[in-house]
Amino acid sequence: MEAINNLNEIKKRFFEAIRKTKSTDELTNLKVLYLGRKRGIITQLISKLPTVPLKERKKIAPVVQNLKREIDLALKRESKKFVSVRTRKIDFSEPAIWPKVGTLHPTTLVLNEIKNIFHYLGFVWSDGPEIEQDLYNFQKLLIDKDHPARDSQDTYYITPDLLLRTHTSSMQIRFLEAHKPPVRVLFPGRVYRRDQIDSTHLPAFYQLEGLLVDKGAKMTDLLGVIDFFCKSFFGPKIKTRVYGHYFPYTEPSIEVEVLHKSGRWLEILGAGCVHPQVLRNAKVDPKQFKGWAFGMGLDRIVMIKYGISDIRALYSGDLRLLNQF
Amino acid sequence: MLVPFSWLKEFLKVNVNPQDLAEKLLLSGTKVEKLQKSGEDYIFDLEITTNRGDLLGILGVAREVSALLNADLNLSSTVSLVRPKEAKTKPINLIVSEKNLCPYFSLVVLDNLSLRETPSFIVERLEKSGMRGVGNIIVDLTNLVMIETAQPSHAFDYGKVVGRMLLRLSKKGEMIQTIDGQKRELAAGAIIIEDSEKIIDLAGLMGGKNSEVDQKTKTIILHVPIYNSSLIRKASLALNLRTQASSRFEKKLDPNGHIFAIKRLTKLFQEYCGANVATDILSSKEIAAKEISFPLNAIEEILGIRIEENKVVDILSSLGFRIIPQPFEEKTLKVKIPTWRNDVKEKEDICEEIGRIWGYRNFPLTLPQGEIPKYGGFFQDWEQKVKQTLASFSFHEIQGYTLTKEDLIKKINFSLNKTLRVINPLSSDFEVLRPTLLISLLISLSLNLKNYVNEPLFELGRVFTNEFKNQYLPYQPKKIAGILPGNKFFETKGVCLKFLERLGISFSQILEGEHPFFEVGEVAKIVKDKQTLGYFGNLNRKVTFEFEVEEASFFELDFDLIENLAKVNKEIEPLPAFPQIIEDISIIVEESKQVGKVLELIKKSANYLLRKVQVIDVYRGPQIGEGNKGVTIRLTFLSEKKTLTNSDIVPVRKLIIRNLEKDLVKIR
Repeated sequence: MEAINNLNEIKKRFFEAIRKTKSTDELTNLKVLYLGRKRGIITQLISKLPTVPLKERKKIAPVVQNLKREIDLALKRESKKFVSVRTRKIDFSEPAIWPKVGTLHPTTLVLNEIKNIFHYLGFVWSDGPEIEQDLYNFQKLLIDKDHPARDSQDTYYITPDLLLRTHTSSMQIRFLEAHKPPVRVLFPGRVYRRDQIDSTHLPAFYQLEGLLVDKGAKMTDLLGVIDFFCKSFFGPKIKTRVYGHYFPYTEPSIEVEVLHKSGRWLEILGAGCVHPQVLRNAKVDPKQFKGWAFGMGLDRIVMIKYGISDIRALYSGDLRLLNQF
Repeated sequence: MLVPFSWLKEFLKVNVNPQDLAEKLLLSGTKVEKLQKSGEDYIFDLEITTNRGDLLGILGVAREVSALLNADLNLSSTVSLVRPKEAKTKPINLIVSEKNLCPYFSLVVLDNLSLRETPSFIVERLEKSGMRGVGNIIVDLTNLVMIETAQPSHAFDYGKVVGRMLLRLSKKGEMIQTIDGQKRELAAGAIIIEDSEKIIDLAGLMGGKNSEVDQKTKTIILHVPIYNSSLIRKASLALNLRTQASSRFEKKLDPNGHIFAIKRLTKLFQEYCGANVATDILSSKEIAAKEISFPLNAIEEILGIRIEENKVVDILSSLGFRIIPQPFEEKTLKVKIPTWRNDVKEKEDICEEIGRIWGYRNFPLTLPQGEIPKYGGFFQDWEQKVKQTLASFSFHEIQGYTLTKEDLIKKINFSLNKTLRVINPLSSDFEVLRPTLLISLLISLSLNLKNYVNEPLFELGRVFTNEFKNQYLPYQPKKIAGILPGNKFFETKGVCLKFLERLGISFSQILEGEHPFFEVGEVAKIVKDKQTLGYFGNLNRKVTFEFEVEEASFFELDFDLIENLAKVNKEIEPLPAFPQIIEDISIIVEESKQVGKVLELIKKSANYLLRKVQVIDVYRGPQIGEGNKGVTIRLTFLSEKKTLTNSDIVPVRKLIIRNLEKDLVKIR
């Protein structure tokens, strides 16, 4: 009981003292006196608690803890009284201190955007070898060794049978050999062409292939998906036009252009229904399943989106460009 | 393919302006690259897809346009009756060694030519079509008919050909001088024609100098062949020689095209050179058009649209397909495919014809109805996660060149004979496949140090070495690599470990490494489950100097391994329910002692209450003596069951200190 009376006395004295404080300094002194880490009145009381017999300690301990909390709160409350009005004025025009930020490459950003659009339609994605067999890049896609279509895809060879893939269509057969239909998948990745370098050609660049194989897959679905993509990516008012084209591995084949703000039509993708023989080459029965596929040049889409006129800028690694994304 | 509007109109009675026609051509699948005004005329520059050999002639284009505009094709100006006068006065004998080399051809000898200047309107047509008059009417007329009909032909000077002509495959090393004056050594497998003495024609590519027509030529042998397209293409590639003729021969031409072309040529030679026909026109037998049955339901199945049968018939007929009535089969058409459309073989091809002429813009738009495929745990986009993680560490993503030059491989200390290279480079700058992402990162770092002080960079991409891990393809793993300017070993270590932690890969070991890119003793490897995930450390300054960078730290990890180890569902520690107790221990150890070993010892000495052991300071200086380092280690104790008191910690602490002292560690 004596101890508790003692505690009440401590409390009384503290609140008398705090009422008389006139400055932050006085308040700090008071805080040290009561709650200081070693000599504080309350601190000492708490450190002595373990020596008090258990029976008494059970009564006293909560009271001490409570008192500590009350004193702490009072000190904090009181301290607000002494906050002075600052008189300095910040010069807002001085430079900002920038956060350290990293950046993603514009091709990555655009690829993510496209992945998201197609993910909405149930597509996933997969990547495959860039050094590819002639068999998968050409022959299984109905482009024999002396097919004139090889002209438009001038090829880098590693050996007579190994090449740097000229298109991501090489993944069509690889994926179908490993996954049974239904299939909805994107194949983004690097492809290679033996072209003279200029503002729109590099020996290596990015392509994105899409493939759907399912019962009842048909041309109007392909057109609908392309339309959905163009409107999602370029905006709902984008004008597109679709016309017949030729690829050995799709039949029928089409090409798609969008009307650029410059007033020019820009080709953005080639597409078509997967040739039944290609399905057969991938061990898929064309009587049961049909498919369609499309392929687009990713760098080209990036260039259109951001108004970049030279493809080499994308591979320059120059932060003066990359920092803007 | 350049098509003068005026020439086209000769075969078509149409009233259409060239801009509208260009759009119609495009929408039907014949792309107009350019429409150019040329005086009063317009010239269409058409992109002809490789399946449409028939469109490599003005007549073929006219046929296509007639279908698009529903106009009649008028061939009256080109066809004429060829009357041989004085037939069989000049004997001719062409032997084709294997039919497969030249399955179809026509041949005629024309005599009594009187050569004159090529009429200017013909020269003009040639020029508008991207050729030029060569100053010899014989050559100009064969070129004119090639552009008109897509069918190339060749005129030999009869007087320069000795004995029989033999068409055969070349043998390796045989020589021919072509009309451009070049002596060419042939590989085996080109088609040639020889007379009894010499090789006179590099068939399909270019004629021989020794049988070339000239201003004195009186008699010509006109040869209008259809060659084996793949042999022509092979020879063209092997000799690196492409001509207007070869680019047509390598497509599938109309197998009956030679019959029309030779009549047309004969007529022109009679008209402009007063030629007599000195033999019968010798032609391979006309081949019959192929027929296929076309089930009408294929249209809905493949294209997804419904078109009335009579519309289908209209479209196909306008393109020259003939529909044979099938009174007993309602839902199937029997379609006769014109010989010039030998690209059309099956129902998909027929659907393509219907689709492109019907117009894809008239198709309804639908979305796929089928089930969304399920691929199991296929969905986590680790590539994206990896990139985002590094960007969040303030790294900048770059994309570098995959093909690089030999010189740069040497500069980074990589052994060239472990690399792969392309066998047909266009330039030595893009020849060797990169075996590491280091090159592009160093180039980029070096470039950016001119404008930026301290910006770390990263790249994710494939690298290539000549190791084969399976039967067919060389090893081409994806790597994730980063570079930091300056000497930043421990920052790099932090990046690597935090990066792995973010991907849910914990408990990886950092071991002493050895790697040619790095300074000796300043490189570590990261190992997880006995697999090496990659290396990090300070780059060898001999390497960095080559790129005008003083010092840089670098890491390169195997993305494929990381992808396999990464976890979506990381185990999360719950917030502690009781307060933790923190104790710091300061020790002094010899420099040679690894801090990591000390930490291991502490962990081994403590019980489960010790939750975390961290080095919070490493100090070197006079106070602790040369060759020593002072280390402050923070121990965090925690229990899930109660608030810990000193009495819980003291015995643990004692044991730790006793073990440390046994291990020659001085406690400060």
